[in-house]
Amino acid sequence: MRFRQEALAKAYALNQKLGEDSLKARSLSTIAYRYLKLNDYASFKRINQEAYTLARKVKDSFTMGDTYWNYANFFKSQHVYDSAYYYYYNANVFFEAAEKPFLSAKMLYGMSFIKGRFRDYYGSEQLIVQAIDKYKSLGKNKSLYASYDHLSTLNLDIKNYDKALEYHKEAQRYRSQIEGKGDTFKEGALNNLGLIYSAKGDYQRAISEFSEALKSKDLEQRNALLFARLLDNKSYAHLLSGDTLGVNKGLNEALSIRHSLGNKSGISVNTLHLAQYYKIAKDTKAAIDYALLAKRYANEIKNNRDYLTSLQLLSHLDTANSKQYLDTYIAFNDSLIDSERSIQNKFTRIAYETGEYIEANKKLSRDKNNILFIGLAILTIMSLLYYANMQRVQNQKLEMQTARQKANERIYLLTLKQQAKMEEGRIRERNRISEELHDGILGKLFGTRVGLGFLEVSGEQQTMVQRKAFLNELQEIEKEVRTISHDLKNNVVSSEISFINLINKMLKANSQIGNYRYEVNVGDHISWDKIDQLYKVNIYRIIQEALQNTIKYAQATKVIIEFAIVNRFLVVTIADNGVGFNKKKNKKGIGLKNMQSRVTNLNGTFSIQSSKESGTKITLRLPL
Amino acid sequence: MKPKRYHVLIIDDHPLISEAYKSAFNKISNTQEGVSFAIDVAHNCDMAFDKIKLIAEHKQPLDYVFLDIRLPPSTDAKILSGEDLGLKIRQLLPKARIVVSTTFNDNYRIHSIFKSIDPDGFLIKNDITPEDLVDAIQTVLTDPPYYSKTVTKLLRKEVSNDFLLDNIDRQLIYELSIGTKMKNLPEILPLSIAGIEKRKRHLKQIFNVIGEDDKELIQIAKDKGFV
Repeated sequence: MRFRQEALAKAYALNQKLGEDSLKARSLSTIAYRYLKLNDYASFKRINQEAYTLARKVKDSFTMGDTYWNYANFFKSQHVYDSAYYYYYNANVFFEAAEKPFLSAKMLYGMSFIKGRFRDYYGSEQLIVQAIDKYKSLGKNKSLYASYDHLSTLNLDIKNYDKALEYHKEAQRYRSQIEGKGDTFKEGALNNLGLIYSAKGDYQRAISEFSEALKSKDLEQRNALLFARLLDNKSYAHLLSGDTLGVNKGLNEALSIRHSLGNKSGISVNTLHLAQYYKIAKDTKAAIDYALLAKRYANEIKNNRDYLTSLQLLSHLDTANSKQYLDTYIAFNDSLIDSERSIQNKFTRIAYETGEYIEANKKLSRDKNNILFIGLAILTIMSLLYYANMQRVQNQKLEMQTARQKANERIYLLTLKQQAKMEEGRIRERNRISEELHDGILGKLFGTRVGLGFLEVSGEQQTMVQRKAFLNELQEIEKEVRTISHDLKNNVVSSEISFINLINKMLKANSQIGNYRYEVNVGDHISWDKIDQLYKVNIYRIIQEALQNTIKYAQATKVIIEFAIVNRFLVVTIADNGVGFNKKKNKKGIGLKNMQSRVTNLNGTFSIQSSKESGTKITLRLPL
Repeated sequence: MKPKRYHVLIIDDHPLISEAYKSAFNKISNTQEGVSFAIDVAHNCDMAFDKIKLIAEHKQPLDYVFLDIRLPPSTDAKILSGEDLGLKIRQLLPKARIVVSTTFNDNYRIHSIFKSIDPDGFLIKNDITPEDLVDAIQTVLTDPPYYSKTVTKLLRKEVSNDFLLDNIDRQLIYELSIGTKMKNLPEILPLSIAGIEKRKRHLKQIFNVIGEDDKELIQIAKDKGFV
């Protein structure tokens, strides 16, 4: 005993080193159960509580059930049946949750047993039937035997003998399948059968069943307790059948065995039987003595049935105190009924409260699920909204970009138109001046000159020569005026509004800001009239963008822009001699992206070469 | 020499110029015996055309017409320039000798005037001195034609050219050279845009011009004396 306790303490200490998981909880529960077996209730309570707390923490419903089962066993051993019932009940709930039907059935059996004890026969029967269902599906013969045996006893208690016999038979069917060598199931069964017959009043059959069991070999050695019970029951059946022969001897033999085993419940029954024997034998004195003894034992072990029987017996035997015993009997019986009723109520309340508790738990978990679901839904909706918003913003940005591009193009076209108009006005004005010079001034000059020439003037030779010279001079002036007039007209072609003019203008303005020199080289035979306005707009914008980059970053001193036609491609290069930039690092800024997209839209290609030494060179190739 | 009186009509919108011409005629009548001039002056198309009509109607003589090309157009807008007027004179008074005197010196216009009027004298005003003017008048009287220097130069150029250009070609080049836009050309020339393009390509082939640009074409045409 001492040794086993030490071993348990060691196991407990080792177990403490485990992590906080269900394995540890299970071990703790097992250790607690061992302490219970050793009747070390303090250690049991402490460790079982620890096991329960941990199991609860790690949500191990099996171990939670196991610890409750331990409690049920503990309270049962302490004869605190309502608490035991409570723990059985809850252990069952946990085992159900952990899907342990066998253990669940065991709990039902335990509950049924307690209910039967408190004469809630109907409730007990319901529970045991539930347990039997589970046992049957699992094929647990031994448990089925015990269950049917219990059913049989229940029916015996309510004097339903036929049912009791039927269930007994059923119990025997399962018993036959589990019988092993040395066990005493069969003898126990015969004893029960005997009791049924005895209760039924069929004493001869009862005696024969008891006798058959007693004939079993070495029963006294194998199960002294059962032997004593059989002996007691057989002798009592004899007595009830009216045959007192050998009864006294049998009862006393059984009592002495029971005394030697300290079987108090046996003793209480046994002494009652003896009291009845002496009553029948008309030895009232001995009868009263045994009845008092039985009363004392029954009271001690709280065997209410025996206690009541002893009181009843005493009221018959002790005529002087008969009324007193009878009153006590009635009072006790009433209190018993009351307490039974209150305990039965307690059972109901336990079931109800636990049901409520489960319901609340279910509601909680339902709420938790709901919260989780709603949370997820909200999260999803939020993400969707966010995504949609992002999309919208992106679209807006794109739209704005497109609109800006369009506006830019419109501005360019307007600029071009304006330029054309200005140029037209300029040409008109030039023509006007040219014609004015030609037709008006030139004609008048001519008229004046010739008129002057025909004017008869007399003078010195010198004066005449000078006059001639002036006339010639006048003719020269005419020529000059004519040349000017012609030039004014002839410049028309060369000064046509051209794309290149616009580029030059932009470069001029930009170069002043960026402080660089520039050069525009236009290849031969590019007829700008034939090139689509859209091309020009985009080329213009790209050059503008590139020049802005040059000003901002390149620190260039020279920019060269070239236009050429190569294999039906218009090739535009924009080169500077600045510091260049790191293409990888720069990850394509919005400016470069814009250029790229413009070129792509025109089905062209776009490339950039950039280095610290040679500056940046952008090349566009557009199909014509 | 039998005294001869020539009937002259000077058509010029500048009184200053008509006076100068008068002076020239006077000089000749002063220096040449028996030669005299009856000079009439018109300052615009209406006036000139009325006089011409009158002379033709009454079968009056008109020997000499000094014709300016650039003139204010007639009020009914039927006669726009001296060129139109020249045509009328040729039609109504075929015997009259016409001396075109103009400040225009571009090849196209000169060519065009040759084609339409075929004047007996062709003077570019700024070429000539008073002496030249006298010489021109006398030459046309006795042995026409008289062409001033610029005109002679152009004729020489044209003769030496192998290019065969018709009037429309010339007009096209001329219009291009003064900056007329392609889209307006069909209103001026009796051709569609496609027809004009075709002609232009043809011209470029003739002048051996590569590329799409008209500038080069005009330049070469100018060098060759077509405009």
